[in-house]
Amino acid sequence: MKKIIVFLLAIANFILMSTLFQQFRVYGVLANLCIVFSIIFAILFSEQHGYIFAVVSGLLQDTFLGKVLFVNTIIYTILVYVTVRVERIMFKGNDMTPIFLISMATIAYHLIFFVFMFLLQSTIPIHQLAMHIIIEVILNSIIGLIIYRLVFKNVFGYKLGDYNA
Amino acid sequence: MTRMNERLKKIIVIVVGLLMILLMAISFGGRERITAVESQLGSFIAPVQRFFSQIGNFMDEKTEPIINVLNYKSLNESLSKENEMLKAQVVSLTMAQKEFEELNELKQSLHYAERSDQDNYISCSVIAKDIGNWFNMFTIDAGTEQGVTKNSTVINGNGLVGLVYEVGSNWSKVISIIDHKSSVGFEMLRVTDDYDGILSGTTNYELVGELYDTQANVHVNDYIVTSGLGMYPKGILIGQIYELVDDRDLFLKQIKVKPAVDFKKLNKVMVIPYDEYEEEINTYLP
Repeated sequence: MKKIIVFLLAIANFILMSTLFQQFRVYGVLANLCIVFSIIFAILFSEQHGYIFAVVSGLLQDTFLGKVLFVNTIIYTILVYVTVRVERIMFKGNDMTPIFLISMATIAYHLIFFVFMFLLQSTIPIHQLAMHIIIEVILNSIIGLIIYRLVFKNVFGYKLGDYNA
Repeated sequence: MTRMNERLKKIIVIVVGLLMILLMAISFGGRERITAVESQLGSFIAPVQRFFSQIGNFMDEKTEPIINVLNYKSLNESLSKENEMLKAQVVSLTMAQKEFEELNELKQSLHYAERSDQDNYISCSVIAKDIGNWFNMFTIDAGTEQGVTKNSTVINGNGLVGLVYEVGSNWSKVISIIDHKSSVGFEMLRVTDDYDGILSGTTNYELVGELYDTQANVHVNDYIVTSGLGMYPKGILIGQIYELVDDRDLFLKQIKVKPAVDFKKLNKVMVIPYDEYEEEINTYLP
């Protein structure tokens, strides 16, 4: 995939998430497609694709809806960096790979966010957010798996889990 | 050579990272002025966002009756009950109104100095909502060009919504009162007693407040309004008390408040520009 497409996809993703997808909140929680896409791109295309998506969506989010600059940008970038290194020892053609990576990334996102907000003295008691985080992990994993399967088929030419291919 | 490059790369990454963290700390709490790049970027993206949020609102409007069809019976009952109550209130209020008018006439004859009412509202629509689950921020389609300033109050037809956090050329970031760190000075909407306190947000679309007076006589279902302490102008409806908590250890009386505004369905808002000069004058007035 061309990198300019990743760039445009990140912008489109931000616009849709901040407007249309707001209608699809589950118990007040929105799935974070920025994490999902950055990780899937990092696994299935290349590390750079992941970084482009992460940085562009992070910057947009911080500029227009963030309380502080660069916090999401840094976290998304860290997530891609770690994911790529963890994924090297994993098997791409398995359902559990995206589920594991995306759910771990979502939890890590909130933990790192908590640390940053703690340092800025703007933290929320974590127990208030626990339910949000659990729902978000589930949502992200489900959506991530669906997208991962679609992209996987496009990249490798056969369905995920089709061992006879 | 390649090893050197690797090293250089790592150093650059670390320096950029540290710089970002520094800027993060500086930008916390909202900047007075944002950079021209951000401002211009907003002008590009805002129209697209407005278009998509209109589609979203349209969809929501059309699907809401279908989803809520089972609730309509109970809603209807509660509304007719409220209607009865309101009818009773109208009678007593008409009496009060008469008295008020008499007092007003008296006031004019005494040349009493009066604070003029706010009438310079800026109406605008919400074009984007926060995509994370930590804060409750959103973007509106009015900025410096329309006269919005930092710390302006944002309201809608139902009551207090929030505060302007950062302003672009024709968009601004708003932080809502249900955000965890925002605090609002409030008082009771009552004729006789005047209890003050401070409210702060939680993550679950509710507000928790503390009354200064521990002996205060408050009830469930009382309405509360802004007290004029802090950034918000006086007398904007905040919400209704739904629970009282007596914290005997801290000698505090806590109230839990349901906001008058439905934050999940927010699309039209109004901005009352914040004017520091005017605020100063008002504080010196008797």
